[in-house]
Order: sequence, then structure tokens, then C-alpha cells
Amino acid sequence: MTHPIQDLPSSADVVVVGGGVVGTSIAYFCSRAGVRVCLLERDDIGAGTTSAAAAAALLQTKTSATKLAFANESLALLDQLHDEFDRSFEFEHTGSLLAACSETEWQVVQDVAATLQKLGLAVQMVDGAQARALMPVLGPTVLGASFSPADAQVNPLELVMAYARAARRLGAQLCIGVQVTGIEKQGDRIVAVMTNKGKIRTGTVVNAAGVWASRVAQMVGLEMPVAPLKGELLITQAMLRRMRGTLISAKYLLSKASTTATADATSPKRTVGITLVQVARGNFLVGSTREPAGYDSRNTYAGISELCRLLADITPSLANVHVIRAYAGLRPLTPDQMPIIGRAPGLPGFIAATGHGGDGLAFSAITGKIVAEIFSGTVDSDKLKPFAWERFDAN
Amino acid sequence: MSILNYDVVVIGGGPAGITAAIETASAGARMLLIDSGNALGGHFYKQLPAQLAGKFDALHEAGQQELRAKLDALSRNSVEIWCSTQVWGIFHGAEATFGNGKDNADDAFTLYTENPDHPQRVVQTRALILAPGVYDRPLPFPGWTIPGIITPGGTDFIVKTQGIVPGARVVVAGTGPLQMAAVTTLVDAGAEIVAFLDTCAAGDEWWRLPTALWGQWSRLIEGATFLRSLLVHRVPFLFRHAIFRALGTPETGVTGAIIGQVDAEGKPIRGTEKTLDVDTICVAYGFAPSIELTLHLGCAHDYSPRLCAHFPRHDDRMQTDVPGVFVAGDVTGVGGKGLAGLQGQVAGISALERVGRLSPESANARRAQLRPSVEHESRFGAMLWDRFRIRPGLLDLIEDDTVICRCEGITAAQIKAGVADGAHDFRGAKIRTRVGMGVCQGRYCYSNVAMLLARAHQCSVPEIGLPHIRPPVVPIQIKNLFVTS
Repeated sequence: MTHPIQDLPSSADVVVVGGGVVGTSIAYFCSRAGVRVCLLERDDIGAGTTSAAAAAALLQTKTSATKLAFANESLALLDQLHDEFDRSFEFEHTGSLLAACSETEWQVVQDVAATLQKLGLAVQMVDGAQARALMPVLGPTVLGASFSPADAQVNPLELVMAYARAARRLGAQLCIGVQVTGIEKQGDRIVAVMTNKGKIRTGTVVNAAGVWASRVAQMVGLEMPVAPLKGELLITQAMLRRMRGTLISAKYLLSKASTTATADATSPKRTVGITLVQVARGNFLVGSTREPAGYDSRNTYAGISELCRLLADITPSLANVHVIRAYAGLRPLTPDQMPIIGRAPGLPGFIAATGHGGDGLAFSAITGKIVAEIFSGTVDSDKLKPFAWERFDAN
Repeated sequence: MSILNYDVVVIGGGPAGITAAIETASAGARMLLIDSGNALGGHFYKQLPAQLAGKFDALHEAGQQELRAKLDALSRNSVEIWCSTQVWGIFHGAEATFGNGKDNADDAFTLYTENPDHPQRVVQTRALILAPGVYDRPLPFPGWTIPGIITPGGTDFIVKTQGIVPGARVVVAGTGPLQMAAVTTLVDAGAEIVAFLDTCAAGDEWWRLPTALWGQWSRLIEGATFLRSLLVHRVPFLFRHAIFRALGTPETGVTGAIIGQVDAEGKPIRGTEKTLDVDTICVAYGFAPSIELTLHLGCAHDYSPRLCAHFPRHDDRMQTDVPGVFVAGDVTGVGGKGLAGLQGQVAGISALERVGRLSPESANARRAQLRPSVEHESRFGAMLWDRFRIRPGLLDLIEDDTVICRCEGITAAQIKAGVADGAHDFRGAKIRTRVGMGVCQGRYCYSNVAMLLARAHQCSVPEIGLPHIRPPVVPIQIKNLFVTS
């Protein structure tokens, strides 16, 4: 329907483009710092990648020092917010189990665990029997696993709504159904954002448009190397509690590592690995495929069947559970699978906060906090280096 | 994985689907007819278990004779029939990639099915006829989820297939033609009908009856049977009345019903309430078409303000806006068995044309021949739904703690909160409240949620948007969603 947007503000300190989990977190942290924020969302809050996310905020998948530190900081913030916000977003440190089903996978799990331990993450190696004791849904194919108790699960829709409500309470204006049509510059300054509902004067635009971020960047003549990577997921009927924590198959990690960021829609290559989590309501959520398919987010028979085949292999006791829906979303992926966060070179009023890949939930809080610090000039610039636009310039 | 090829696939084995299958098979097309029930016939030609055969009225027996003739025709024409079969996914062209580089032809459909004996049969076709029918439409009122509340269709089903009488003292209410059949069925089964309520007035659209009913002799007989049941058993007949509230708890079941008068728009008139001593409430408000498959296929749908529900859009060849997808029967707007059969014939002719078994000229000629009968039958359907139209004022009965989405237990108050939180369409409500996220994926609650949202935003229901149906269209076990190699 045509959205009843009554009051597009005439001006704002910061205009955030994109109302997913990253954009709403930015709106919240900026508002908390006293900044006048206007968030523009073309469709609806959380309607894009956020609503097609798995329900986990994982540490075991963050195998670089930067990513792990970033995720750790973000999860600590989520702990605080979960206490502060009046409604739960089902955030809980239920842990994760990275499970191997073959000797090759077991080697991978051991290597990953060694790396993570070196980086300071408390992970514990367990054999097949111990893994099944921790997670009784696992079947006999699991040879061993690494267990990380600090990994968390979260309800993505409740999280994005929690950020949005909190931001709104602090005075942010969240405008739904408003599409950005252009960005007005004067020299190296931004002066206004044009939308289908009118113009907003502002000196700062935050590009949190996720997989559509490159289109927003083009409005100011910038190239942004963010491409969509499709993920298909499944959701089952709700069941009594049968597992706690997130299961990650080693295949998932391998799939994630083998992803080429040069997303080329003409030569789709699908990789699949299982993540499994039972959400608060009792449904099992099964992720996910990884496939460069442009902006096509339809489900395919191959995607659905491959997920089910791998799931039945690793958790045979769930083979009789009914799938009630498949869904699919697009992850915003950069060539080095690291987000882009920071001011644009040559256009300091344009701040990027995108390219979070499949880590948007885990990284959302810290991204919001950092963008607020960038705006106020209090950010530690060393910390921003791995996320800078400039890292892609060398090529 | 082996893929079976058919010229035409019909989904739904009621009057429309059976006729469509006979039409196409008799022209020599290789035909598959799929039905989710354990026997063909749909709601209309319900097949009875042997121990109950002969227990029901002559009308039912006449229907069964008709069905037997049609089943003979199906087998004479070697139509392949799969009962107890669910179609859980239909993929167009390249969407059906099998992962081995062997893609679907662009204009073909690949259907994935599940059946207890054949958990994973895959079918390809270029012409699909969808005749999935309708189901009884609930409208929420306080207490409507208490055990002991059934629909007219459900009543017919449990009495006729299981031989169970749903209650001793029953109030029949709501609106629609099936209510009359339910009264007859219940009386025959030995239940007492405490009252018969209808939200329409006795005189609504009566002047159109003569033209609409001309030639509808079997319907007149049905009507007479119904009236005789009411008169013989002295059932109080209350027009412009509705169930305001069901009394009882989940433990006790229904212990009574508060009924009252409604105005022409269905708005409850407070102060007119009366309590009925009943143990069962039989109620529904017309029908909602089963549009899961047409939504899944991406077909356009139109909203009928009379039925307060969406129907797949189709042209006079019964083709939807997706080439190769045809619809027939009540899913197109509830016109009864006669219209369903005719539409099945037209859809069959058009499917034959699509697969090249009939020239466009002969297809046009044959459709033209059927047109007068289609128009005649449509007149009856139109009259019926002008009379039994769903009155949106009935939504006023809903209270804050009335459940709207049964699967997820979402109440009217939660939907209101979702609206206050910015939900502007169905998906927005879903994101904010979980409405429609349960096992039925919005199949049963969508129309009611859409009406509530439209009311909150003072907009039309089509502006609320339709649910996005992704596979599996029906819940399917994980083990049946992949092929063990």
C-alpha cells in the first residue's frame, strides 16, 4: 500500500539509508549520542536481508583477529542492550558446536579451534559421543566437534524491531516506504538527500543499504564493491525443545571459505553447509546455501533438497520433522568478506556501513556504535583501518 | 531422479478437476490427475466409507451415481490418478535446476509431489489446470477457538466419512449455502438444531431468485429438502443474526452461545443478546479459495468484496496471467458444481490448445459453444454471493484477546500493536507480530488479518498485499525433500 508517511523531516544531522539490522542499529546509537537521525527505508523495517537471516550471532566462524574482536565487542553490546530494552530479542549465549563428519572435516575443525584458541576464544574439543551429549539431535556421522560456549542466538526480527523502537523513542525519525532518488553534493560536501517523498537537508549520509549499497553509492559517483550472495534457508514446524545452541557443520565453514566474492550471476556456483538452531518458539531454522545469483532471491529445488540431504545426514533424528517454509535472502558481500565502514575518500559526508556478508546480526551493534563515533569524531582511527574503503584501491 | 512427463496435469479431483481431466484425456492427451484426498470427488462428490454407504439421502446417492459415471470415463480414457498426493512445489523453467545442469524448458513446469507410497514423484508438464477448490471461511469472534465449534464443511465431512454426530444440541450460523446442507445432515444424523442463524435478511436479493434459479432444478430440490428439515423439526429461523460469543473453555468445550442481531453491514446490535443452550456451534462465513498454488506460481489475484477473499485472475479461456496455468471450479469465485464442471471443460479445451492438440480455431469454437451455459451458471453464483455476501461489520465482534492467527496464537491486540509499530501491510504485520508464520503460513488467517489491517489504515484490502507463498506449499517432512542416492 502507499505508506502513510506524514512527516519527512526537512533536515537531519544524519540520514541513514536502509532499515535493516545495521541501519536501525546506527539510528539507535546515533540518537543515543544526541544526533538528529532520519532513517529512510524503501520497503519496511527488516524486510530485506534481515528477515531472511539465520538466528545466530556466532564467534566460531570468525577466524581472523579483527573479525573475532569485532564480534566479541558486538556481542557484549548486545548483552547490554538485551538488558536495557523492554522487550526481549531472544538473545542468549547458548553456545555453538562446530561438527565434523569426516577425517578431512575433523582436520578443519581442529585447525579452526587452534586458531580461535590462539586468538583467545574459549573453545573446547569434544569427541563424537561428547558432541551428542551436548546436542542430542546429532547422529552417528559426527566424529567430533569444537564447542564454543560464548556464541549466541538471537531473533533477527525482534532485534531489528528493538533497535527501531529504541531509536524512535530517542527521537529518530524512521520513514518507511521512502526511496532515495538522489544525493545532492556541493563540492566535496553533501547537502541533501532527495527521495520520492521530498528532500531532506543533511550534511551526512550513512549508506546502510546492504546489497543495494552500491546503487546508493553510485548516486554520489562512487564505486562500492558489494555484491549479493544468495542464501536459501528452511524453517520447520515448532517442536518441544530438543537442542540448545547452534550447530555448525564443518561443511558450512568450508562453504563460507570457498565463496568467491566475485559474484558473477552468469556462472552460479552453489555451496551448502548446515547451520541449525531451534528458536525460542520451537521451530528449527536450517541454513544455508551460498550462491551468487544476482538479485534473484527465489528458492530452488536444488537448494531446498541439498539442505535437507545434509541435515538428514548430520541430524537423522530430525528427518521426520516437517518443513513449513523455505526462504531466501541476499547477503551483502565484499571481495575480502569484511564489511566496509567509514567515511568515503574524497567525500567525508558519505559514510559506508555495509558489506557485512552473513555476519550482519553479529556485527550490527558494534557497527552502530562505530558509526556514531565516526560522526562525532571520537572513533579510534586504527580500529577502522581493516574496514576502510581504501583497501580496495590497490587493485 | 526420474521425471514423469504429461501433456496436462490437473490438480484437484472435485467436479472441475474431474471434468477437465476427462475433457483433455478424451482428446488423447497424456493426463495426470492429482488429489490430496484419499479418494476423488472433492467436497461435492464425497465418497463414503462402505459401512456408511446408503445412510444418506437420495441427493447424495444421485451425486454418487454421477461420480461413478465420471470415474468410469476417467479410467476409459486412461487418466493417471494420484490420490493422497500433495504438490509441495511447482517451479517454472530454470528455477527447477536439478543441480546436474539439466534445466527445465522455459515454458514447462516441474511439480514435486509427496504421497505415502511414493514420497518423491516429480512431474513435468506444459499445461497445468488448478482446481483446488475452497474451504470454509472462519471469521473470528470471542471464543471461536473453543473445541466444539465446527464448520458446515467439517460437519459434512465428519458425519459422512466417520459417522460421528458432532453434538447433541447444535446452533448453525454464519452465512452461505453449505449451512443449509449442514442442517439437513445434522437432523438426519439425529442432532437437535437449536436455532438456524443467518447474517443476511430473508428478503436479500429475493427478486433475482427466479432468473438465477431458472433451470437449477436440482438446487430447488435441495432447497426444498432443507426447508422441510427446518419445518418438520420446528427449527427457529433467525435472519440478521450472528454468534456474538461462544461460551466454554478449552477444557469444557462449548457450553453455550451468545447470539444477537446484526445490521445490514453485519455490525452487532448491542442489547439484542440472547444465550442459547448448545454444546456445538456450526459456523462459517462463506468460503475462502485455496490460492496457495496460484500465489506460489506468481499468478495475479483479484479481490472479491462480496466474499472478502482473493481469487486467481483468469481470462475467458480460464488461463491465469501465467501462460500455461489454468484454473477451474470454485477457486475462481464459488459458483457451485455446475459452473465448476463447465469451467473444467473450458480449461481442458484451453490446455489442449496450449499443448497443440487442438487448433486455436476449434478451441475457440468449442469454448463459444459452452459460453451460454457458463453465463447461465455464473448468474446463479453471482446471485448467491450477493445474497450471502460477507458483512465486514462482523469484525466488530472481535475483542482484544480474540485470537486471529491460530497457529501462532496471535490476538487482535497484538495485531493492533503491530499496526501502532508501523505495520502497513500483511508482511509488515508478519514481521512485527509473527501472524501467519505458523504451520498454515497464513492460509487460514490471511483474509481476516488483511481485513483488520485495511480497517486500521482505512484502505482497501488489496492494498494490504498478499502473502508470499514459498515452497513447500504444504508442510513436508525433511526426508521427503531430497532424494537418497
